[in-house]
Amino acid sequence: MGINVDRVYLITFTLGAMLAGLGGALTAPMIAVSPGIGVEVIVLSFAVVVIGGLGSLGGAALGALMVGIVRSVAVRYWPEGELFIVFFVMALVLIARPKGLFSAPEARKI
Amino acid sequence: MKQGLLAGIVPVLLIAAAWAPQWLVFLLALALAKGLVVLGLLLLMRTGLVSFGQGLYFGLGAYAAALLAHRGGLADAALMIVAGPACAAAVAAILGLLLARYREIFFAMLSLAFSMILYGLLVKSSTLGSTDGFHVQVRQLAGLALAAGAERRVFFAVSVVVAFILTWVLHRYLASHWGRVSTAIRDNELRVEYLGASVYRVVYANYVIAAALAGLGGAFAALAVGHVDPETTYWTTSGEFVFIAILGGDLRGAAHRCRAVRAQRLADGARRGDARDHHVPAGRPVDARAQESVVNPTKSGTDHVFSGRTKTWSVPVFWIFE
Repeated sequence: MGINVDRVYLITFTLGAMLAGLGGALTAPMIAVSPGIGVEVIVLSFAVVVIGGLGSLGGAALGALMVGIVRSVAVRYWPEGELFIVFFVMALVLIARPKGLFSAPEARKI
Repeated sequence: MKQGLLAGIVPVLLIAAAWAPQWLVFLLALALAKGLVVLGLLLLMRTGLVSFGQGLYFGLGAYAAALLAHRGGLADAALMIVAGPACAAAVAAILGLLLARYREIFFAMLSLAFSMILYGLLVKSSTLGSTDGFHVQVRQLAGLALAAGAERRVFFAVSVVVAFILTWVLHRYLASHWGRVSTAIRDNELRVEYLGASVYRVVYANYVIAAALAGLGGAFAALAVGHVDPETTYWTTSGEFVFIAILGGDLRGAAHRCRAVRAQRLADGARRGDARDHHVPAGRPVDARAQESVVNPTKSGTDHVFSGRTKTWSVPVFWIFE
């Protein structure tokens, strides 16, 4: 159809990296910066995306809010569960809705 | 010919178990234990699934084996080697009922979630040593008492034989009906259903087999290191297994053995570098006694503390978050 796929990928990837950089820049003033700062973000961002449903912007926003709020509530009221409460919520969401909250319907490949 | 090559490695490793220096035996034992986990992961990959939660079963196997010796009073390696995979398979038989319905990233993330829940529980359980874990001292194999210093060599020799047999069994399994259906599921699940085979059942069986292999790897790792800690179930450990499997690449059983050794060696190199570059917190409550017997005593103090650990690239990161 005449669309340059490589270019779309490149632009998408660059945009994604820019957003990640922006997120880091906004977070940096609030925390201690260190070389391994990204490792927890990887898993948490995957959790957010999977909760929301792949490719859904609204889902990602809701997932991010859920993860953030659940974690903060856990820190305040149930500190023992802080480490895994996010994954517990993710497991519950996936058990209830196997493709995330707002997943787009997929064409079946035969 | 490939099988001949694999069979040829066994006597070499057995000779290494008897004659190689302690550090090499330790390295090979840990690599082989991880190789077993990756063997299970390769079976899942054949089925088209990538698990980011094999650390769950690795950790379960290690803890089940270690608890048997530590709390159960049954400090016999043969029992531990059975208990590890049995415990892992039992848990997988329950979780598999759910997980066998999931694919792609959802399978990866759900399996990761379960391993992280176990991690969270282990870290908070002070009776199991919390983040430090606890030691495992075993000098007995199937009723035979082993001489001090020789026990790790014997355990390694056992793991070589067991790993060889299991690699061969898995090879036969992949060539069997169910093994071929596994590959077909990776290629096109829907058509497999059309042909009348149960995708769910094959995925479930492969999941439980992979878990049992991971549990076995965990039990051998606990015997090799003489220590268990919650990091065995952390997601970076699971990630390391995926990393080794991808490094192996061509999805052949034997290849993973070599790659696991290579990754372990790289890791040791990286670890030594990191220990110098990063300042280890002085009051860090890590007990180095368990590692003492397997680590060269001439190394510096920080090397000591971390030599028994089974991480690769996550090491510097972990000091920050711990």
